Amino acid sequence: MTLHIVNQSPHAGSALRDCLNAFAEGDALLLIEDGVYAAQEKAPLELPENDVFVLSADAEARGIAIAPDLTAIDDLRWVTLCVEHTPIVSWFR
Amino acid sequence: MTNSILALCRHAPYGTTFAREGLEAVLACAAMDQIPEVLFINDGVYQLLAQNPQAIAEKSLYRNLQALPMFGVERIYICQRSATERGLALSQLQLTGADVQLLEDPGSLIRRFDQVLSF
Repeated sequence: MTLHIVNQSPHAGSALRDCLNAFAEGDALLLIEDGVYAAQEKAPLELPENDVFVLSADAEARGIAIAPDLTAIDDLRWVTLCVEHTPIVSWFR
Repeated sequence: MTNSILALCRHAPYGTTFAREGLEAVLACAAMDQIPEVLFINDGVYQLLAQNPQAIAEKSLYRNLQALPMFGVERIYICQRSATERGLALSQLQLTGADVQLLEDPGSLIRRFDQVLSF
């Protein structure tokens, strides 16, 4: 199923909202770079129940505590996600 | 085994170069017999409005879009929500020579492709 990658803060643009509007049941979401600002406990947008991944290096770099119901991953796991999913859609602007 | 490609056109024309770059990539793919399908979504739906950019010294993106059917892209998709949110009716978003389809659930279209290029 589709892997959606978002690298924009939910407060700074519509990338995450646009992505969630095109999200289908069973897809996966990966938050990287400024996208991790959506991974906090009290995030502005409701994320899907499961298959939401957050790059821990980017969260740590920004002092963001990842909400417990989300899955923190490293680069290696990111590569595995990309191999497991087709297609991969980048929501970068 | 050829890969199926979807071009996701998400940005309005002129304000950034995404729209033009996206169209050029689609035409290049089509010229190489890798005919992509095209989905206009979010602000990308504005690309299909009638335009008159002479006043800002820009070439009309809409006119170049009309090359799509000639390059084999006979059907284009438009995200229904994106159009409605922007108060645009399907009648305003036509492309001569192409079958324009309004799409309620873009997610289910996107997941059918091997590759998705976002612009």
